[in-house]
Amino acid sequence: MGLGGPFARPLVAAFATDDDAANYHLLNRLSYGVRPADMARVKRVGRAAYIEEQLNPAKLLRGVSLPVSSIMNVPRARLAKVKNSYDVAYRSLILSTVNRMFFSPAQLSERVVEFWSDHFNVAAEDEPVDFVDWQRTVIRKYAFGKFRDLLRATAQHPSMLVYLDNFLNIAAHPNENYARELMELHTLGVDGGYTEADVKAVARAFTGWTFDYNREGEGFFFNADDHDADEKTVLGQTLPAGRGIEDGLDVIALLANHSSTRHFVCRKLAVRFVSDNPAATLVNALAQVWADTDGAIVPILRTLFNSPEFAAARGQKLRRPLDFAVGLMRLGGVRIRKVDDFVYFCELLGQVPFGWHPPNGFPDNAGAWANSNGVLSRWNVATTFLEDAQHGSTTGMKTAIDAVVGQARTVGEFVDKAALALLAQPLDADVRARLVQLVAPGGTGDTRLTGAVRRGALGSLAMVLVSSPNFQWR
Amino acid sequence: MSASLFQVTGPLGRRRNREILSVPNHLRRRRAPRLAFAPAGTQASGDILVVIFQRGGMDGLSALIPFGEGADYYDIRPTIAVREPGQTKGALDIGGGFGLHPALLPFKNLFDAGQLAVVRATGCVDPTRSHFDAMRYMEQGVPGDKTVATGWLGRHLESVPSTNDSPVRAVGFGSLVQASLRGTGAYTPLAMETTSDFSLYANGDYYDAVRAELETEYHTSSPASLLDRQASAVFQTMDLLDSLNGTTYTPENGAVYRDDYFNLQLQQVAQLIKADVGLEVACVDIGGFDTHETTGVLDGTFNDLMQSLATGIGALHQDLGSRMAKITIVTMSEFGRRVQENASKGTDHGHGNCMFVLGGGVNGGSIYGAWPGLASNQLDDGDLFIPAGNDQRHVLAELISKRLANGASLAQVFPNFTAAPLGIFKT
Repeated sequence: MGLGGPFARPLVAAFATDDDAANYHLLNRLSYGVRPADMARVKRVGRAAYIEEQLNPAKLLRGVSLPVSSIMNVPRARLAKVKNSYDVAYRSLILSTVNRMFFSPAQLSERVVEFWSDHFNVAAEDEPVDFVDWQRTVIRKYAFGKFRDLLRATAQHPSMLVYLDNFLNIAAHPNENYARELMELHTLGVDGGYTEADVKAVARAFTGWTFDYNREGEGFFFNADDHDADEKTVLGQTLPAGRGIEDGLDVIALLANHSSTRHFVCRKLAVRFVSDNPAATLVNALAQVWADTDGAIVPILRTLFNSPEFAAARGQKLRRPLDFAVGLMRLGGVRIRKVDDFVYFCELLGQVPFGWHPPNGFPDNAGAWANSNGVLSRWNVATTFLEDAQHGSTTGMKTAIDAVVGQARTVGEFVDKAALALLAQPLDADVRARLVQLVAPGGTGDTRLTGAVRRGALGSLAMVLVSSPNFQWR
Repeated sequence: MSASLFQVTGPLGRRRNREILSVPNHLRRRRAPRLAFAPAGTQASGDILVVIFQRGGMDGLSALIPFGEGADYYDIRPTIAVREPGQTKGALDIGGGFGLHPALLPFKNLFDAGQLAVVRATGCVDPTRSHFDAMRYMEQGVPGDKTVATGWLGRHLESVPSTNDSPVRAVGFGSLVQASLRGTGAYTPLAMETTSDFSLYANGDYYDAVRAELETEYHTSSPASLLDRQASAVFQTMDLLDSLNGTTYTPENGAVYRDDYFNLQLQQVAQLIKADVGLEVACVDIGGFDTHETTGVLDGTFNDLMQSLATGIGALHQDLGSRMAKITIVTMSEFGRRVQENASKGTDHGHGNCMFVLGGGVNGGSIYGAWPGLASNQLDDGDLFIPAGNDQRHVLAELISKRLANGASLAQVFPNFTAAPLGIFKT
């Protein structure tokens, strides 16, 4: 039976040429939603060049102003003193994150930031003030850099030190939580070859790694008094006695260099961007690039997006709930008016940004997300975002779907333009015929489109298009 | 503050009363008039099963207190041990040197009434202390094997002779379906947050056309793909629940639930059971048990969780009244916690745990399972040992055999396992 993406049965929509389909596939995977202007750009410069553009986010963002709250750049100490800092930080974070996903020309950068946010999962709602700093100084700073630098930054940030209890990890009473998840989830993987003895030794290596906001240069602080300086053996390597912060730094280097780490992380990248069960050939190729470049993310992604495995994986990834919401927002011109309401809709869908509490991060396979509640909630949120949000209701969202679809003289043209706006491709003839009937029962594609009919049907037409299987699979 | 795995911060619990979707009348969803679903064939002949999974690793030694162990318990839990029965906030004595956490008073009452059984030093025998692996092994019912794609409940439901084709035959409450319910695709478990919200929201004037289009695109009359099957289940369930929508739920027999998300979901279970729409298995999660620091055994996190658990399950039992004769409720958690408390007045991941089993078919009022002891030479790497005879699968296999009429399929449900009943259930 299998999962059956759009190719298992007749399509709702299909491209005229294979080149268009390949362009759409590329855009659909490295962005949050494929707009006509995006398709035009890829057509003009070609896929390889487009990939290169997306691998250079700094250049893409030069001179570009995004609707991102200034709160995102306020230093932590100052943000903590803002009135209602918890709510302010949390709301600004959600709004800015989603706005970046919507507006940023550096779409791949946002997708990679999301990937690392999942991989090094921290739940934002525990301490959103710290989390804003975490996103800026750890995830976003190192997302396109080298894995070892990102790993070290995660190990030393108060958000992670608190989230996985390492700030409580002291020589007198070690706490193993961080040590275990560092190896199981961040680096080697659960089958990566570490033992319970390694967990205990790594915990001891990180004793004394804490934070103190009252000190000069507030943030990470190594407390030598709490450090277990006895000799330790980690993955067969001896960490000599009598040292301090070097124990933890050595563990980080050891883990970053380990072959299990590059295979584990590269496989997760392949799962995110290619398919739920990526071929070993691809994972090995990515791991080889990692070995050759000391874990540099950009060359790894370059290899991934140019790979034959990627090209062959059209329609095999299911949009997760947030992908669905942001995708429909980007394509339907849907904006957030009230963050709290948006968060509520994310809860209905089953995925609030940075809202996963266990450290393994949001699941990334179709089986986890394809369930009855998830499917129904997408349809219902689509109605809210595309129908209700036109009418100034109390949904806390607003949409420009009317402008996005644009002028149309006939019912057929109206249906075609909606499909192009939301699915970037022409509809199957049978589907088109049915949607013409939905808009104007008893009419044909050539029936003139009156204002009243357009106003009445627009929301439902748009909702049905983004609710189709074509939009769920990417 | 540390990470609390699977916190009980059910967002819908916070926002239930909020009228976000209040829109002008002409845009309100229109429920097409359809006949309420009537189950076609006979139901399965077994009990209705409610499985409650405590996520995060419940500290079994704080729920079922082994006060009879004396120093072996009290000396290594200097701050978080629960006092002996008779003392202030002491354990509720259930015999043999064991007592229940004071907040589990509803369980004590059910125990005394012969309706509740306790299984001790039980759980998943795989040595993993990883939440994710332990949950996976427990829910799939095959410890240590990473190739298994189905769950023990999924395999049971696909093997038990049944003509129950109700779309709500197996329901997982929450936004992600519990892994234990996964099958091969022969049946589709339903994921649901609340019954009253389970309807299609569409512009009333276009509702019929929108619904028809979605049903066509997802091939709901002959689903072929994963997504097709979910969509098909959605529409079948919507029609079935149509008759339940709009009615507020009133518990019977004086049952009083607590006002929290877990208790809300138990009321959903009760509502579905009473509606007689073919519910056979319900899975409900209660999270927040990963008490690495400040367990709060008597006045904090853990105490609150015990209250939620016992109030909810006790209320469910009372609410269902005489129906409990054909219902079994069972609790489980991926592992217990370390015997020795840590420096943060909490405990790290452990091994052996306890289970609570309730229902008319239970030989209640007894504690089951050999007790290995808490002396340091009796522990499993610092954790409560699980004797082979206490493997959780013995409990579940006996349940499947004696209460769910599927003893013939035990080899399929629990492969490579020879079940030996503990005598918990009546035939």
